[in-house]
Amino acid sequence: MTVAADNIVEVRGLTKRFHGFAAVSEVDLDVRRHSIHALIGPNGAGKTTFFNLITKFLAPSDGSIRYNGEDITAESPARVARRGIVRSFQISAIFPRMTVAENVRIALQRPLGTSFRFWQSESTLDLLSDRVDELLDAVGLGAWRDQSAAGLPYGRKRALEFATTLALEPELMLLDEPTSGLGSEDVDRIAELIRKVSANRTILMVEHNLSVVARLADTITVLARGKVLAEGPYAEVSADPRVIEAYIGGEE
Amino acid sequence: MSAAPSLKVAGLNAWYGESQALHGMGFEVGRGEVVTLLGRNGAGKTTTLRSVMGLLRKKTGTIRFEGEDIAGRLPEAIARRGIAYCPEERGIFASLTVEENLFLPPVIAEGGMAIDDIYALFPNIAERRTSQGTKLSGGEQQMLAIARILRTGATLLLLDEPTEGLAPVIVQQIGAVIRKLKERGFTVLLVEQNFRFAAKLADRHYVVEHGRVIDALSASDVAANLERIQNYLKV
Amino acid sequence: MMDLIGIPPQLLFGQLLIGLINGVFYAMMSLGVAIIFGMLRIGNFVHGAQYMLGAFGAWYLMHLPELFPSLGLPSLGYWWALALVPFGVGLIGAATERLFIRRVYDLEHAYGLLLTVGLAMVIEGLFNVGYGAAGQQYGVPDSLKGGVNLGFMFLPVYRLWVIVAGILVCLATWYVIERTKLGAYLRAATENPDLVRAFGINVPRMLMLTYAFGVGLAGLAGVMAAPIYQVSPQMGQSIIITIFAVVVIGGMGSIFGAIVTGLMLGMIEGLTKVFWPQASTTVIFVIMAVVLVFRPAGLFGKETTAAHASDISSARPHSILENGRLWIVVLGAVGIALPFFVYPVFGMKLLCLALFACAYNLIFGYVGLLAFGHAAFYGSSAYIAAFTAASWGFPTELAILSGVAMATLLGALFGWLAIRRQGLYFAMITLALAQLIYFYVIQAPWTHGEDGIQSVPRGHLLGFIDLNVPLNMYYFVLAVFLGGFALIYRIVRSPFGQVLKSIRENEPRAISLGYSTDRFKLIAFTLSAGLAGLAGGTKAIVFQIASLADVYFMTSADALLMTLIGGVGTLLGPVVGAVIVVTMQKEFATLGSWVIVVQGAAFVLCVLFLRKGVVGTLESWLGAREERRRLKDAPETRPAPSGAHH
Repeated sequence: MTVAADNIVEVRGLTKRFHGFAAVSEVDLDVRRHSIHALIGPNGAGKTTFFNLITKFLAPSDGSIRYNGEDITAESPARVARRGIVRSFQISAIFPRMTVAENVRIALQRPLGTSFRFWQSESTLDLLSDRVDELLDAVGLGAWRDQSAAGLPYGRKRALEFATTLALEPELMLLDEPTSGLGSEDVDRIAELIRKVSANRTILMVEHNLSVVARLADTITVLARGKVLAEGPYAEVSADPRVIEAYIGGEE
Repeated sequence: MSAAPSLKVAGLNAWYGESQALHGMGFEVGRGEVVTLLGRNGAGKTTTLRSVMGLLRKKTGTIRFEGEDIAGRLPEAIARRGIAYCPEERGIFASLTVEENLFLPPVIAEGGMAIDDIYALFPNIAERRTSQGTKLSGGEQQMLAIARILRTGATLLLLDEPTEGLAPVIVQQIGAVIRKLKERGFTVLLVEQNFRFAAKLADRHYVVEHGRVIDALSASDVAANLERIQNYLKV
Repeated sequence: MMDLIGIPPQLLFGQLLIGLINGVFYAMMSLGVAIIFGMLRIGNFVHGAQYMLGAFGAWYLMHLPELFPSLGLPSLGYWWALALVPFGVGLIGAATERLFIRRVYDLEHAYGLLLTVGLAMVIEGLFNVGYGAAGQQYGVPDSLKGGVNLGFMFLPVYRLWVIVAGILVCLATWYVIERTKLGAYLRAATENPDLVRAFGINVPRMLMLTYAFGVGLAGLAGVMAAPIYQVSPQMGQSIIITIFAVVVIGGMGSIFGAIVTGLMLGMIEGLTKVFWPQASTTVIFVIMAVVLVFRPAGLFGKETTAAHASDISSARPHSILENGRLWIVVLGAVGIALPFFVYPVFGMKLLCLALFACAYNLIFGYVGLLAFGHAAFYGSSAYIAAFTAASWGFPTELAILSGVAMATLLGALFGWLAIRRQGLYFAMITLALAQLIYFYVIQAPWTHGEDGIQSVPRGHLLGFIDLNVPLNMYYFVLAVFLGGFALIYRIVRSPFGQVLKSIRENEPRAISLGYSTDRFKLIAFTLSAGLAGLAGGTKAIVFQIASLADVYFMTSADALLMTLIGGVGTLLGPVVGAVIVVTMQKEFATLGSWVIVVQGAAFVLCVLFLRKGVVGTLESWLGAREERRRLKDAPETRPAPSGAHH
């Protein structure tokens, strides 16, 4: 198998119908290993639905999803997460009343296999402290370690969510609009983070901020009305007349 | 500006939880005008309409409708003053028939369209009166969502991306409808991503980015500034 | 006369008729509950009390001359009651919505249920004070007296009238909701209240009218029930739990479903009375359990929306009041000293209930699941401990452990059934399942019905410590309490507890981190049940009795109240809550039935004004003080931005 053909995700004929209306319709998509792959498209194109399908938060009406060659179409969201597919949410997904360090530690503790041990002390988790600090430093949150997560500024919450996601050592990171609602300074910081963590892993992201997409993405897939409209690197996609039409309207 | 302002928004900031979506939004819509808010996904266009309608509570700034500040009012009070809203997701009620959906919004003033005129404008809806609301096709649902706010006597219509996800032939029909509404004297604030659609309809355009207006053009400016506009909106 | 499959037809049709009449009431009531739930998202526990108000309203109108002799009012009969009472009860409903229920719309669902539980206790308690447990008679109106002989049975005209009128009312309600303009507003507002408001419809007023209508329907059912059942303060209490089960079975999606399910279950209940009388009180709850396994959304329900565990904990993580190592020492010291200041019996009652509340807090506070049936675990353990000690001669510690084992098993089973549904449903299901245990205990021969299991020997601990000596017994109970308290603290501060916390705070995110959250919730629920069993079993030994009160839903409500008053999700809240509630019960004991009223009022006041409870409020006050002091001492203590850190 050549490196170029090494796809971590292969989606075939993926379809999701709500009340007879196909939000996602026969989408084929390959995500190359170790690439940053962006999913863009006008409102209502089905990006978030597609995203929820891949992470199993929605059940597809039709089609298949293969991950590392295995069919995961019928698996539960928690199972998929344990395989190494970890998602972020549009609204920052943190545990507000846990400390910043605990937020990250909760993700680190699962591989220990002690999560059902209600008779053990929390201090058995102290061995994770170094890794927690490493991850927090990586996203610039070292100084906030013992604060409650609820008190972080919005942009920092995003960074915390990122650190938590990274803690799982995900092979595939799915980011749902990682920069939405952020000020421009925070956007730059998060974009830099994405680039930094993309080494040795694959990232699939839905993103509205096109400067971020242009800067980061190796491949862009444009969805419109639930279907794939175009795919390729930024320069190619942005010049595609069909894409322009989808974004600013067609000739009548 | 050709007419007295129907709606005037100034210095509007709005938040979803902690995330600030509008940063000093401001624009005007004159009586009888069709005005669009153009912009990419997530620019704050829908948030603007929801704020005007009173559906978003966490906001600062002024929103004047027919001279009265309505920024602190409840949605039902704002609607009763003459603003009607057609949401992006269309908001057709699944548990209501087409006809029930059509007659749901109460008449708030005289001068709304007669039901026969509405059926004449939307023949498909007349045919499918007794169907369940959400059994209609996407295009028909959009027509219904517009149709039901025409009877009420509201003078200002807020239309949120009426062309979203629709086939070109339906988009054309919706364009024709909006032109007729303008002829009948409705004031329309249109949110669009589809610029080519909006360009044929609107008297003026505001370009929205990061929760504020970054450019404004009148219909006559469009031809000379096509590239500029495309740069705002394209990928 | 011919027998049908060995059953005399009079009996069969007689019971079917009774079943159908019950079914009519179930239908009318569950219709109201379903409409209110659909629009207001409130699990209207006070619906039973409102039904009782209807019956008493009719009785009052009849007795106006005796009640107000100086006013010279006429006695208003059945037809007047039918016309006036539903309206009056509806008006009370509107006022209730305005004054109380409106305040909790924006809060977690749990508070709506707690509020209505409190209101029900106040209303029913007040009537209990006024009229005691005895029922009042209300005669069948003259115009509906007599009966029709159908050959195989005698059909009283009044019962026929109830069936016909009740079904007509249900159908009329269905018609109004499904086929009229008013109903269209209602359906639309149920789907998308924001958009309906944006059309200029006053949704808050609609909510009030909807509530008034649903409540009026309960009032009407009450009037119609008055000549059939006795008019008593308790009449609503038992029916409401059945109604919740009916609603779970039918599912919320369909008005028609509520009507059909109500009628059907009434008839099934009637038939069960014929073929297996002992099972007739429990059959509805068993059906509910079966439906939950095969169709979690209910027979007519639509796809369940995935609501998640909710965070209503009021603890501040690093408060000194959350330091278990410190407080276990303090509680131990206070506990050792306590019998020198209060009677040991009072101390033991306090410790048992405090442990019960701590166990309940584990699931309600730390996982965020509104369980409402912990009496089942507390009570079943009490009965098993009492029975094994009294009848089988088990030594004390083994009797208690048997009780704990029973409670743990039941907890695992109920948890497995209930965790399929979230939020309000979870509360309704656990409540109904607990009621199943209650009815079983009433009927089973070994539990001795109303008497309970009495004269349970306290025995000797480890064979040589005589527990009949009050102080020995007391210190044993103290040890049990401290052990339970320590175990709960350990559970909460364990790797497992960390996951529970994450589920409570953000369940979708916990799932996305790879945790199968339902399994964690189930284990926590089972642990909570086992610990509640520990409290119940110990209590049975201490007081040498297991009685119906232990399995009654009011005991579940006690656990909730103690946790709520003390502070949900705090370490010490349940203990403080137990002290307050037990003291209150003792102080008000002389007032008799007023205790329930006071407890109900405490519920309402807590929900409206003290949602953090005593300990939670104290913790936020301490936290705020600390914050102020920190800012004053060193204004620059905010962490430096990360740029400086690189």
